[in-house]
Amino acid sequence: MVSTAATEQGTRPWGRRAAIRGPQAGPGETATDAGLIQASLTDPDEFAGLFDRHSDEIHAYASRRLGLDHGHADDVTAETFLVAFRKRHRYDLDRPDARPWLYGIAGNLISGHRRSEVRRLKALARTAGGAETHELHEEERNAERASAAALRPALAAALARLSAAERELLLLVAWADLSYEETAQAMKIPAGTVRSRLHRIRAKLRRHLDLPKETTP
Amino acid sequence: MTDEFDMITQARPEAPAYSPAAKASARRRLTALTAEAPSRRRPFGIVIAGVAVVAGASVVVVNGLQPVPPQAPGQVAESTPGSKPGSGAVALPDVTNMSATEVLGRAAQAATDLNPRNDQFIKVTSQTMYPTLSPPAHMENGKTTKESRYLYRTNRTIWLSADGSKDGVLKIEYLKPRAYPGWPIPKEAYAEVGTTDSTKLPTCGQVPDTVYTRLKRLPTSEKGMRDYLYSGPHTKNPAEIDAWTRVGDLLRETYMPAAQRSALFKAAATISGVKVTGGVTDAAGRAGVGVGLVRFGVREDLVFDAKTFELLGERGTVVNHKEAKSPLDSVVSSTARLQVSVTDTAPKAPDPISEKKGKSCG
Repeated sequence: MVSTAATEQGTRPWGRRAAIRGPQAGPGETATDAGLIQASLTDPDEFAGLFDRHSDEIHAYASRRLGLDHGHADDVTAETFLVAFRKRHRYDLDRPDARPWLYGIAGNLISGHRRSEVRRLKALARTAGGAETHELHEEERNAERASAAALRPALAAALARLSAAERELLLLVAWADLSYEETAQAMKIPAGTVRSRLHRIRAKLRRHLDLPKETTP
Repeated sequence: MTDEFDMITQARPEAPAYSPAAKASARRRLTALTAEAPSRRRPFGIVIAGVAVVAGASVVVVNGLQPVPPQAPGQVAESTPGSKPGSGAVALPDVTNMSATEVLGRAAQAATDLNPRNDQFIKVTSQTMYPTLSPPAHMENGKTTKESRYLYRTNRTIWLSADGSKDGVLKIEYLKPRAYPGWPIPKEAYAEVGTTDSTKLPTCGQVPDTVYTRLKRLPTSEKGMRDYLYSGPHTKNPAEIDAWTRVGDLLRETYMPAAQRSALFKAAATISGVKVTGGVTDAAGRAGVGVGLVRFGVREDLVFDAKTFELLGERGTVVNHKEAKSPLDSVVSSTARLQVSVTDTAPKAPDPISEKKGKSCG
Protein backbone atom coordinates (compact mmCIF):
# COMPACT_ATOMS: atom_id res chain seq x y z
CA MET A 1 0.00 0.00 0.00
CA VAL A 2 1.59 3.18 -1.11
CA SER A 3 0.65 6.08 1.01
CA THR A 4 2.20 9.26 -0.10
CA ALA A 5 3.22 12.66 0.98
CA ALA A 6 0.05 13.86 -0.63
CA THR A 7 -1.95 11.79 1.84
CA GLU A 8 0.04 13.46 4.52
CA GLN A 9 -0.80 16.96 3.53
CA GLY A 10 -4.28 15.71 2.96
CA THR A 11 -6.52 16.29 0.06
CA ARG A 12 -8.22 19.49 0.96
CA PRO A 13 -11.38 19.18 2.94
CA TRP A 14 -14.35 19.90 0.84
CA GLY A 15 -16.22 23.10 1.03
CA ARG A 16 -15.36 26.65 0.29
CA ARG A 17 -11.94 27.99 0.91
CA ALA A 18 -12.69 31.63 0.54
CA ALA A 19 -9.94 32.52 2.98
CA ILE A 20 -7.19 31.55 0.54
CA ARG A 21 -8.68 33.59 -2.21
CA GLY A 22 -8.99 36.96 -0.61
CA PRO A 23 -10.07 39.99 -2.58
CA GLN A 24 -7.42 41.89 -4.50
CA ALA A 25 -4.14 41.10 -2.82
CA GLY A 26 -2.27 43.99 -1.30
CA PRO A 27 1.46 43.96 -0.79
CA GLY A 28 2.52 40.99 1.31
CA GLU A 29 -0.84 39.29 0.88
CA THR A 30 -1.48 36.19 -1.15
CA ALA A 31 -2.19 37.10 -4.75
CA THR A 32 -5.53 36.04 -6.19
CA ASP A 33 -5.58 33.48 -8.98
CA ALA A 34 -6.32 36.32 -11.37
CA GLY A 35 -3.26 38.12 -9.97
CA LEU A 36 -1.10 35.08 -10.63
CA ILE A 37 -2.44 34.66 -14.13
CA GLN A 38 -1.86 38.32 -14.84
CA ALA A 39 1.71 38.05 -13.53
CA SER A 40 2.24 34.99 -15.71
CA LEU A 41 1.59 37.12 -18.79
CA THR A 42 4.86 38.88 -18.02
CA ASP A 43 6.64 36.06 -16.27
CA PRO A 44 5.26 32.71 -17.46
CA ASP A 45 6.86 30.84 -14.56
CA GLU A 46 4.39 32.50 -12.20
CA PHE A 47 1.77 30.17 -13.62
CA ALA A 48 3.22 27.29 -11.63
CA GLY A 49 1.71 28.99 -8.57
CA LEU A 50 -1.73 28.17 -9.91
CA PHE A 51 -0.72 24.52 -10.18
CA ASP A 52 0.56 24.50 -6.61
CA ARG A 53 -2.70 26.01 -5.43
CA HIS A 54 -5.25 23.92 -7.27
CA SER A 55 -3.71 20.74 -8.68
CA ASP A 56 -4.73 18.64 -5.66
CA GLU A 57 -8.32 19.75 -5.96
CA ILE A 58 -8.49 19.22 -9.71
CA HIS A 59 -6.87 15.83 -9.28
CA ALA A 60 -9.39 14.88 -6.60
CA TYR A 61 -12.23 15.80 -8.93
CA ALA A 62 -10.74 13.97 -11.90
CA SER A 63 -10.03 10.86 -9.85
CA ARG A 64 -13.54 10.85 -8.36
CA ARG A 65 -14.90 10.83 -11.86
CA LEU A 66 -12.39 8.58 -13.57
CA GLY A 67 -10.84 6.52 -10.81
CA LEU A 68 -7.11 6.14 -10.55
CA ASP A 69 -6.80 3.32 -13.08
CA HIS A 70 -4.82 3.86 -16.22
CA GLY A 71 -3.51 7.18 -14.92
CA HIS A 72 -6.41 9.06 -16.54
CA ALA A 73 -6.85 11.33 -13.54
CA ASP A 74 -3.12 12.10 -13.54
CA ASP A 75 -3.23 12.85 -17.25
CA VAL A 76 -6.31 15.02 -16.97
CA THR A 77 -4.77 17.02 -14.15
CA ALA A 78 -1.49 17.56 -15.97
CA GLU A 79 -3.26 18.45 -19.22
CA THR A 80 -5.64 20.82 -17.45
CA PHE A 81 -2.79 23.09 -16.42
CA LEU A 82 -1.04 22.85 -19.78
CA VAL A 83 -4.24 23.84 -21.56
CA ALA A 84 -4.91 26.56 -18.99
CA PHE A 85 -1.43 27.97 -19.49
CA ARG A 86 -1.88 28.15 -23.23
CA LYS A 87 -5.26 29.85 -22.79
CA ARG A 88 -4.21 32.22 -20.03
CA HIS A 89 -4.33 35.26 -22.34
CA ARG A 90 -8.06 34.79 -22.61
CA TYR A 91 -8.70 34.49 -18.88
CA ASP A 92 -11.19 37.01 -17.54
CA LEU A 93 -9.06 38.84 -14.97
CA ASP A 94 -12.19 40.13 -13.24
CA ARG A 95 -12.64 36.66 -11.77
CA PRO A 96 -10.30 36.36 -8.81
CA ASP A 97 -10.93 32.63 -8.36
CA ALA A 98 -9.68 30.51 -11.26
CA ARG A 99 -11.18 27.26 -10.04
CA PRO A 100 -14.33 27.38 -12.18
CA TRP A 101 -12.16 28.00 -15.23
CA LEU A 102 -9.87 25.08 -14.32
CA TYR A 103 -12.84 22.80 -13.62
CA GLY A 104 -14.24 23.74 -17.00
CA ILE A 105 -11.01 22.72 -18.72
CA ALA A 106 -10.76 19.55 -16.66
CA GLY A 107 -14.38 18.74 -17.49
CA ASN A 108 -13.67 18.98 -21.21
CA LEU A 109 -10.70 16.67 -20.81
CA ILE A 110 -12.70 14.25 -18.71
CA SER A 111 -15.35 14.05 -21.41
CA GLY A 112 -12.53 12.86 -23.64
CA HIS A 113 -12.45 9.87 -21.31
CA ARG A 114 -16.22 9.57 -21.30
CA ARG A 115 -16.20 5.94 -22.29
CA SER A 116 -13.94 4.90 -19.46
CA GLU A 117 -15.99 6.94 -17.00
CA VAL A 118 -19.19 5.25 -18.09
CA ARG A 119 -17.53 1.85 -18.04
CA ARG A 120 -16.37 2.51 -14.49
CA LEU A 121 -19.81 3.65 -13.37
CA LYS A 122 -21.37 0.56 -14.87
CA ALA A 123 -18.85 -1.60 -13.08
CA LEU A 124 -19.73 0.14 -9.82
CA ALA A 125 -23.37 -0.43 -10.57
CA ARG A 126 -22.72 -4.14 -10.94
CA THR A 127 -20.38 -4.72 -8.00
CA ALA A 128 -22.63 -4.51 -4.97
CA GLY A 129 -25.51 -5.64 -7.22
CA GLY A 130 -28.68 -7.41 -6.22
CA ALA A 131 -27.39 -10.68 -4.79
CA GLU A 132 -26.45 -9.60 -1.27
CA THR A 133 -29.24 -7.11 -0.90
CA HIS A 134 -31.84 -9.75 -1.60
CA GLU A 135 -30.73 -11.73 1.40
CA LEU A 136 -31.38 -8.86 3.74
CA HIS A 137 -34.59 -8.74 5.72
CA GLU A 138 -37.11 -6.15 4.79
CA GLU A 139 -36.27 -3.71 7.63
CA GLU A 140 -32.60 -4.09 6.99
CA ARG A 141 -33.07 -3.37 3.36
CA ASN A 142 -35.08 -0.28 4.22
CA ALA A 143 -32.34 0.88 6.55
CA GLU A 144 -29.82 0.23 3.83
CA ARG A 145 -31.84 2.17 1.35
CA ALA A 146 -31.76 5.15 3.62
CA SER A 147 -28.01 5.19 3.56
CA ALA A 148 -26.64 6.67 0.42
CA ALA A 149 -23.64 4.36 0.49
CA ALA A 150 -25.79 1.30 -0.07
CA LEU A 151 -27.48 2.98 -2.96
CA ARG A 152 -24.21 3.65 -4.61
CA PRO A 153 -24.56 0.96 -7.26
CA ALA A 154 -27.96 2.33 -8.20
CA LEU A 155 -26.57 5.84 -8.16
CA ALA A 156 -23.66 4.81 -10.31
CA ALA A 157 -26.08 3.32 -12.79
CA ALA A 158 -28.19 6.46 -12.75
CA LEU A 159 -25.10 8.61 -13.30
CA ALA A 160 -24.00 6.43 -16.17
CA ARG A 161 -27.34 7.07 -17.86
CA LEU A 162 -26.92 10.83 -17.86
CA SER A 163 -25.33 12.56 -20.80
CA ALA A 164 -21.73 13.72 -20.38
CA ALA A 165 -22.83 17.35 -20.09
CA GLU A 166 -25.53 16.51 -17.56
CA ARG A 167 -23.10 14.50 -15.49
CA GLU A 168 -20.57 17.27 -15.57
CA LEU A 169 -23.03 19.88 -14.43
CA LEU A 170 -24.39 17.70 -11.66
CA LEU A 171 -20.99 16.65 -10.37
CA LEU A 172 -19.51 20.13 -10.47
CA VAL A 173 -22.23 21.11 -8.04
CA ALA A 174 -22.42 17.89 -6.04
CA TRP A 175 -18.80 16.74 -5.95
CA ALA A 176 -16.74 19.83 -6.66
CA ASP A 177 -18.88 22.05 -4.42
CA LEU A 178 -19.15 24.77 -7.03
CA SER A 179 -21.98 27.27 -6.70
CA TYR A 180 -24.44 27.66 -9.56
CA GLU A 181 -22.61 30.83 -10.54
CA GLU A 182 -19.24 29.03 -10.57
CA THR A 183 -20.68 26.06 -12.42
CA ALA A 184 -22.06 28.47 -15.00
CA GLN A 185 -18.57 29.96 -15.41
CA ALA A 186 -16.99 26.54 -15.69
CA MET A 187 -19.45 25.41 -18.34
CA LYS A 188 -19.71 28.79 -20.05
CA ILE A 189 -23.48 28.87 -19.77
CA PRO A 190 -25.79 31.36 -18.03
CA ALA A 191 -26.44 30.75 -14.33
CA GLY A 192 -30.16 30.45 -15.01
CA THR A 193 -29.44 27.61 -17.39
CA VAL A 194 -27.55 25.77 -14.65
CA ARG A 195 -30.62 26.00 -12.46
CA SER A 196 -33.04 24.74 -15.09
CA ARG A 197 -30.76 21.97 -16.32
CA LEU A 198 -30.12 20.81 -12.78
CA HIS A 199 -33.86 20.65 -12.27
CA ARG A 200 -34.19 18.42 -15.32
CA ILE A 201 -31.28 16.25 -14.27
CA ARG A 202 -32.77 15.73 -10.83
CA ALA A 203 -36.06 14.68 -12.33
CA LYS A 204 -34.20 12.19 -14.49
CA LEU A 205 -32.28 10.85 -11.52
CA ARG A 206 -35.48 10.46 -9.52
CA ARG A 207 -36.94 8.46 -12.34
CA HIS A 208 -33.92 6.18 -12.65
CA LEU A 209 -33.60 5.70 -8.92
CA ASP A 210 -37.22 4.81 -8.43
CA LEU A 211 -36.77 1.95 -10.83
CA PRO A 212 -33.79 0.11 -9.39
CA LYS A 213 -34.67 -3.08 -11.28
CA GLU A 214 -33.89 -1.38 -14.52
CA THR A 215 -30.47 -0.41 -13.32
CA THR A 216 -29.25 -3.80 -12.19
CA PRO A 217 -28.50 -6.44 -14.78
CA MET B 1 -37.99 10.43 0.78
CA THR B 2 -34.28 10.90 0.40
CA ASP B 3 -33.32 13.78 -1.79
CA GLU B 4 -31.63 12.47 -4.92
CA PHE B 5 -29.22 15.38 -4.98
CA ASP B 6 -28.09 14.75 -1.41
CA MET B 7 -27.66 11.11 -2.29
CA ILE B 8 -25.29 12.00 -5.08
CA THR B 9 -23.44 14.42 -2.83
CA GLN B 10 -23.08 11.85 -0.08
CA ALA B 11 -21.99 9.17 -2.52
CA ARG B 12 -19.02 11.26 -3.56
CA PRO B 13 -16.16 8.76 -3.77
CA GLU B 14 -13.11 9.19 -1.60
CA ALA B 15 -10.49 10.99 -3.62
CA PRO B 16 -7.37 8.85 -3.78
CA ALA B 17 -4.17 10.72 -2.99
CA TYR B 18 -2.39 12.49 -5.81
CA SER B 19 0.87 10.59 -5.99
CA PRO B 20 3.83 12.93 -5.47
CA ALA B 21 5.53 11.42 -8.50
CA ALA B 22 2.56 12.05 -10.78
CA LYS B 23 2.21 15.52 -9.35
CA ALA B 24 5.89 16.30 -9.79
CA SER B 25 5.69 15.00 -13.34
CA ALA B 26 2.67 17.19 -14.08
CA ARG B 27 4.38 20.21 -12.59
CA ARG B 28 7.51 19.49 -14.61
CA ARG B 29 5.52 19.36 -17.81
CA LEU B 30 3.96 22.69 -16.93
CA THR B 31 7.23 24.40 -16.01
CA ALA B 32 8.86 23.03 -19.16
CA LEU B 33 6.10 24.81 -21.06
CA THR B 34 6.29 28.03 -19.06
CA ALA B 35 10.07 28.09 -19.43
CA GLU B 36 9.66 28.12 -23.19
CA ALA B 37 7.16 30.95 -23.26
CA PRO B 38 8.55 34.38 -24.04
CA SER B 39 9.17 36.34 -20.90
CA ARG B 40 10.14 39.83 -20.02
CA ARG B 41 11.72 38.85 -16.74
CA ARG B 42 14.19 36.05 -17.07
CA PRO B 43 17.20 34.95 -15.12
CA PHE B 44 20.39 35.19 -17.12
CA GLY B 45 20.87 31.47 -17.65
CA ILE B 46 17.50 30.97 -19.27
CA VAL B 47 17.97 33.88 -21.62
CA ILE B 48 21.06 32.15 -22.95
CA ALA B 49 19.17 28.93 -23.47
CA GLY B 50 16.32 30.80 -25.13
CA VAL B 51 18.62 32.60 -27.53
CA ALA B 52 20.30 29.35 -28.39
CA VAL B 53 16.96 27.83 -29.41
CA VAL B 54 16.50 30.57 -31.96
CA ALA B 55 20.09 30.53 -33.14
CA GLY B 56 20.23 26.78 -33.46
CA ALA B 57 16.89 26.42 -35.17
CA SER B 58 18.29 23.77 -37.47
CA VAL B 59 18.64 21.46 -34.51
CA VAL B 60 15.12 20.37 -33.69
CA VAL B 61 14.97 17.29 -31.57
CA VAL B 62 12.19 15.46 -29.90
CA ASN B 63 11.36 16.78 -26.47
CA GLY B 64 13.34 15.08 -23.75
CA LEU B 65 10.14 14.41 -21.87
CA GLN B 66 8.70 12.31 -24.66
CA PRO B 67 8.71 8.61 -24.01
CA VAL B 68 11.07 6.77 -26.28
CA PRO B 69 10.33 3.33 -27.62
CA PRO B 70 11.82 0.83 -25.21
CA GLN B 71 15.07 -0.59 -26.50
CA ALA B 72 13.99 -4.02 -25.34
CA PRO B 73 10.46 -5.19 -24.53
CA GLY B 74 9.44 -4.40 -20.99
CA GLN B 75 12.58 -2.50 -20.33
CA VAL B 76 11.26 0.92 -19.49
CA ALA B 77 9.30 1.13 -16.28
CA GLU B 78 5.76 2.36 -16.55
CA SER B 79 6.07 5.29 -14.23
CA THR B 80 8.86 7.27 -15.79
CA PRO B 81 8.42 10.80 -14.50
CA GLY B 82 8.01 13.22 -17.32
CA SER B 83 7.30 10.54 -19.85
CA LYS B 84 3.57 11.09 -20.01
CA PRO B 85 2.52 11.45 -23.60
CA GLY B 86 1.23 14.59 -25.10
CA SER B 87 3.96 17.19 -25.09
CA GLY B 88 4.84 16.86 -28.76
CA ALA B 89 8.04 17.74 -30.53
CA VAL B 90 9.76 20.92 -29.52
CA ALA B 91 13.21 22.40 -29.78
CA LEU B 92 15.57 21.75 -26.92
CA PRO B 93 17.72 24.58 -25.73
CA ASP B 94 21.24 24.25 -27.06
CA VAL B 95 22.73 23.44 -23.72
CA THR B 96 26.19 22.87 -25.10
CA ASN B 97 26.65 26.61 -24.82
CA MET B 98 25.97 26.49 -21.12
CA SER B 99 28.69 26.15 -18.54
CA ALA B 100 28.61 23.58 -15.76
CA THR B 101 27.89 26.45 -13.38
CA GLU B 102 24.83 27.41 -15.39
CA VAL B 103 23.47 23.89 -15.75
CA LEU B 104 24.07 23.04 -12.11
CA GLY B 105 22.75 26.46 -11.13
CA ARG B 106 19.50 25.66 -12.92
CA ALA B 107 19.44 22.23 -11.31
CA ALA B 108 19.80 23.95 -7.96
CA GLN B 109 16.58 25.85 -8.68
CA ALA B 110 14.54 22.75 -9.49
CA ALA B 111 13.70 22.36 -5.85
CA THR B 112 10.59 20.34 -5.16
CA ASP B 113 10.51 18.67 -1.79
CA LEU B 114 8.72 15.52 -0.72
CA ASN B 115 9.18 16.24 3.00
CA PRO B 116 8.98 12.65 4.24
CA ARG B 117 8.31 12.03 7.92
CA ASN B 118 10.98 10.28 9.94
CA ASP B 119 8.89 7.12 10.21
CA GLN B 120 8.31 6.86 6.47
CA PHE B 121 10.29 5.33 3.65
CA ILE B 122 11.87 6.85 0.59
CA LYS B 123 11.08 4.66 -2.37
CA VAL B 124 13.28 5.01 -5.42
CA THR B 125 12.80 3.10 -8.64
CA SER B 126 15.53 3.15 -11.20
CA GLN B 127 16.93 1.38 -14.17
CA THR B 128 20.63 0.70 -14.14
CA MET B 129 23.37 -0.55 -16.41
CA TYR B 130 26.79 -1.07 -14.90
CA PRO B 131 29.88 -2.95 -16.06
CA THR B 132 30.87 -6.28 -14.60
CA LEU B 133 34.61 -6.75 -14.92
CA SER B 134 36.18 -10.11 -14.20
CA PRO B 135 39.79 -10.25 -13.06
CA PRO B 136 42.38 -10.61 -15.85
CA ALA B 137 43.01 -14.18 -17.05
CA HIS B 138 44.56 -16.35 -14.35
CA MET B 139 44.84 -19.99 -13.23
CA GLU B 140 41.99 -21.33 -11.15
CA ASN B 141 41.55 -25.05 -10.29
CA GLY B 142 44.05 -25.92 -12.94
CA LYS B 143 42.24 -24.01 -15.65
CA THR B 144 42.93 -20.65 -17.14
CA THR B 145 40.00 -18.30 -16.59
CA LYS B 146 39.04 -15.92 -19.30
CA GLU B 147 38.85 -12.22 -18.70
CA SER B 148 35.37 -10.99 -19.44
CA ARG B 149 33.41 -7.78 -19.37
CA TYR B 150 29.77 -7.11 -19.87
CA LEU B 151 27.12 -4.61 -18.89
CA TYR B 152 24.47 -5.96 -16.56
CA ARG B 153 21.14 -4.27 -16.43
CA THR B 154 18.44 -4.17 -13.77
CA ASN B 155 15.26 -2.49 -12.67
CA ARG B 156 15.70 -1.59 -9.05
CA THR B 157 13.25 -0.49 -6.41
CA ILE B 158 14.58 0.42 -3.02
CA TRP B 159 12.73 1.38 0.15
CA LEU B 160 14.90 3.16 2.69
CA SER B 161 13.77 4.29 6.09
CA ALA B 162 13.86 8.11 6.25
CA ASP B 163 15.69 8.13 9.56
CA GLY B 164 17.50 4.82 9.13
CA SER B 165 15.69 3.23 12.06
CA LYS B 166 13.87 0.56 10.08
CA ASP B 167 15.11 -2.15 7.75
CA GLY B 168 14.97 -1.30 4.10
CA VAL B 169 14.02 -3.49 1.15
CA LEU B 170 15.61 -3.86 -2.26
CA LYS B 171 13.88 -5.43 -5.20
CA ILE B 172 15.91 -6.18 -8.30
CA GLU B 173 14.66 -7.38 -11.64
CA TYR B 174 17.45 -8.63 -13.87
CA LEU B 175 17.23 -7.46 -17.46
CA LYS B 176 19.06 -8.64 -20.54
CA PRO B 177 22.75 -7.77 -20.44
CA ARG B 178 24.49 -5.67 -23.06
CA ALA B 179 27.95 -6.05 -24.46
CA TYR B 180 30.69 -4.03 -22.88
CA PRO B 181 31.74 -2.29 -26.07
CA GLY B 182 34.49 -4.30 -27.70
CA TRP B 183 33.90 -7.43 -25.56
CA PRO B 184 31.74 -10.51 -26.20
CA ILE B 185 28.94 -11.19 -23.69
CA PRO B 186 29.87 -14.25 -21.62
CA LYS B 187 27.26 -16.94 -21.04
CA GLU B 188 27.07 -16.39 -17.29
CA ALA B 189 25.75 -12.89 -17.99
CA TYR B 190 22.37 -14.42 -18.82
CA ALA B 191 22.11 -16.57 -15.69
CA GLU B 192 19.67 -14.36 -13.80
CA VAL B 193 17.90 -12.62 -16.66
CA GLY B 194 14.16 -12.48 -16.13
CA THR B 195 14.34 -13.24 -12.44
CA THR B 196 13.44 -10.91 -9.59
CA ASP B 197 15.10 -10.75 -6.22
CA SER B 198 13.75 -9.22 -3.05
CA THR B 199 15.97 -8.70 -0.05
CA LYS B 200 15.60 -7.03 3.25
CA LEU B 201 18.30 -4.46 3.95
CA PRO B 202 18.85 -4.84 7.68
CA THR B 203 19.97 -1.71 9.50
CA CYS B 204 22.10 -3.70 11.93
CA GLY B 205 21.96 -0.68 14.17
CA GLN B 206 23.90 1.41 11.67
CA VAL B 207 22.58 4.63 10.27
CA PRO B 208 24.13 5.28 6.85
CA ASP B 209 25.27 8.78 5.93
CA THR B 210 22.76 9.00 3.12
CA VAL B 211 19.52 8.48 5.06
CA TYR B 212 17.17 11.40 4.68
CA THR B 213 17.48 12.73 8.22
CA ARG B 214 21.27 12.81 7.92
CA LEU B 215 21.20 14.46 4.51
CA LYS B 216 18.95 17.06 6.07
CA ARG B 217 21.72 17.99 8.47
CA LEU B 218 24.23 18.66 5.69
CA PRO B 219 25.25 22.26 4.96
CA THR B 220 22.84 24.37 2.95
CA SER B 221 25.45 26.81 1.69
CA GLU B 222 27.59 26.29 -1.37
CA LYS B 223 30.77 26.81 0.65
CA GLY B 224 29.71 24.48 3.45
CA MET B 225 28.70 21.78 1.00
CA ARG B 226 31.94 22.13 -0.94
CA ASP B 227 33.93 21.66 2.26
CA TYR B 228 31.86 18.60 3.02
CA LEU B 229 32.47 17.12 -0.45
CA TYR B 230 36.21 17.55 -0.02
CA SER B 231 36.27 16.25 3.56
CA GLY B 232 36.60 12.62 2.53
CA PRO B 233 36.64 9.70 2.21
CA HIS B 234 39.93 10.18 0.38
CA THR B 235 41.49 7.72 -2.01
CA LYS B 236 44.70 7.98 -3.94
CA ASN B 237 42.77 9.70 -6.71
CA PRO B 238 42.95 13.46 -7.14
CA ALA B 239 40.78 15.33 -4.63
CA GLU B 240 38.32 16.57 -7.26
CA ILE B 241 37.60 13.01 -8.38
CA ASP B 242 36.84 11.98 -4.82
CA ALA B 243 34.61 15.01 -4.42
CA TRP B 244 32.74 14.22 -7.63
CA THR B 245 32.31 10.61 -6.55
CA ARG B 246 30.80 11.88 -3.35
CA VAL B 247 28.32 14.02 -5.26
CA GLY B 248 27.08 10.89 -7.03
CA ASP B 249 26.94 8.92 -3.80
CA LEU B 250 24.76 11.54 -2.16
CA LEU B 251 22.25 11.46 -5.01
CA ARG B 252 22.09 7.78 -5.94
CA GLU B 253 18.97 6.08 -4.53
CA THR B 254 18.54 8.78 -1.94
CA TYR B 255 16.33 11.75 -1.41
CA MET B 256 18.25 14.97 -0.94
CA PRO B 257 16.14 17.62 0.78
CA ALA B 258 15.63 20.68 -1.43
CA ALA B 259 17.95 23.01 0.47
CA GLN B 260 20.85 20.54 0.54
CA ARG B 261 20.24 19.49 -3.05
CA SER B 262 20.47 23.08 -4.15
CA ALA B 263 23.71 23.57 -2.19
CA LEU B 264 25.08 20.31 -3.55
CA PHE B 265 24.57 21.27 -7.18
CA LYS B 266 26.10 24.68 -6.61
CA ALA B 267 29.05 23.16 -4.80
CA ALA B 268 29.47 20.50 -7.50
CA ALA B 269 29.86 23.29 -10.05
CA THR B 270 32.95 24.51 -8.18
CA ILE B 271 34.80 21.19 -8.56
CA SER B 272 37.54 21.84 -11.08
CA GLY B 273 37.33 19.96 -14.35
CA VAL B 274 33.55 19.51 -14.28
CA LYS B 275 32.26 20.01 -17.82
CA VAL B 276 28.98 20.01 -19.75
CA THR B 277 28.13 17.62 -22.57
CA GLY B 278 24.89 18.17 -24.44
CA GLY B 279 22.72 15.60 -26.16
CA VAL B 280 23.13 12.65 -23.81
CA THR B 281 20.40 10.24 -22.73
CA ASP B 282 19.77 8.35 -19.54
CA ALA B 283 19.11 4.62 -19.24
CA ALA B 284 15.43 5.13 -20.00
CA GLY B 285 16.27 7.00 -23.18
CA ARG B 286 15.32 10.40 -21.81
CA ALA B 287 17.33 13.16 -23.46
CA GLY B 288 19.32 15.44 -21.26
CA VAL B 289 22.49 17.31 -20.63
CA GLY B 290 25.47 15.71 -18.94
CA VAL B 291 27.67 17.37 -16.37
CA GLY B 292 30.71 15.40 -15.33
CA LEU B 293 34.32 14.67 -14.71
CA VAL B 294 36.70 12.18 -16.30
CA ARG B 295 37.85 9.22 -14.21
CA PHE B 296 39.83 6.19 -15.49
CA GLY B 297 39.22 7.23 -19.07
CA VAL B 298 35.47 7.45 -18.55
CA ARG B 299 33.53 10.68 -18.27
CA GLU B 300 31.15 10.22 -15.34
CA ASP B 301 28.16 12.44 -15.99
CA LEU B 302 25.13 13.36 -14.01
CA VAL B 303 22.34 13.66 -16.56
CA PHE B 304 19.85 16.50 -16.18
CA ASP B 305 16.63 17.12 -18.04
CA ALA B 306 17.56 19.71 -20.64
CA LYS B 307 14.54 21.85 -19.90
CA THR B 308 13.59 21.39 -16.28
CA PHE B 309 17.12 20.56 -15.14
CA GLU B 310 15.90 17.87 -12.86
CA LEU B 311 18.26 14.98 -12.25
CA LEU B 312 17.48 12.09 -14.58
CA GLY B 313 20.33 9.67 -13.94
CA GLU B 314 24.00 8.98 -14.47
CA ARG B 315 26.10 7.95 -17.41
CA GLY B 316 29.65 6.87 -18.08
CA THR B 317 31.14 7.56 -21.52
CA VAL B 318 34.57 6.45 -22.72
CA VAL B 319 36.85 9.37 -23.51
CA ASN B 320 40.15 7.49 -23.39
CA HIS B 321 39.89 4.09 -25.03
CA LYS B 322 43.20 2.79 -23.67
CA GLU B 323 42.41 3.54 -20.06
CA ALA B 324 38.84 2.29 -20.36
CA LYS B 325 39.73 -0.66 -22.62
CA SER B 326 36.73 0.19 -24.73
CA PRO B 327 36.14 2.21 -27.90
CA LEU B 328 35.98 5.97 -27.69
CA ASP B 329 32.48 7.38 -27.03
CA SER B 330 31.00 4.03 -26.02
CA VAL B 331 28.69 4.07 -23.02
CA VAL B 332 29.83 1.85 -20.17
CA SER B 333 27.32 2.77 -17.51
CA SER B 334 23.92 4.34 -17.57
CA THR B 335 21.15 4.77 -15.03
CA ALA B 336 17.75 6.40 -14.90
CA ARG B 337 16.00 7.51 -11.77
CA LEU B 338 12.42 6.77 -12.69
CA GLN B 339 10.45 7.64 -9.62
CA VAL B 340 11.04 8.91 -6.12
CA SER B 341 8.17 8.76 -3.67
CA VAL B 342 7.36 8.49 -0.01
CA THR B 343 5.63 5.46 1.47
CA ASP B 344 4.47 4.54 4.96
CA THR B 345 5.71 0.99 4.79
CA ALA B 346 8.17 -1.19 2.94
CA PRO B 347 7.05 -4.52 1.50
CA LYS B 348 7.92 -7.78 3.21
CA ALA B 349 11.11 -9.41 2.01
CA PRO B 350 13.33 -12.27 3.14
CA ASP B 351 16.03 -11.32 5.60
CA PRO B 352 19.46 -12.27 4.24
CA ILE B 353 20.88 -12.49 7.75
CA SER B 354 18.39 -14.84 9.34
CA GLU B 355 18.57 -16.99 6.22
CA LYS B 356 22.30 -17.38 6.38
CA LYS B 357 22.75 -18.68 9.87
CA GLY B 358 25.95 -17.70 11.53
CA LYS B 359 26.26 -14.57 9.47
CA SER B 360 25.53 -11.69 11.75
CA CYS B 361 25.18 -7.99 11.53
CA GLY B 362 28.82 -7.12 12.25
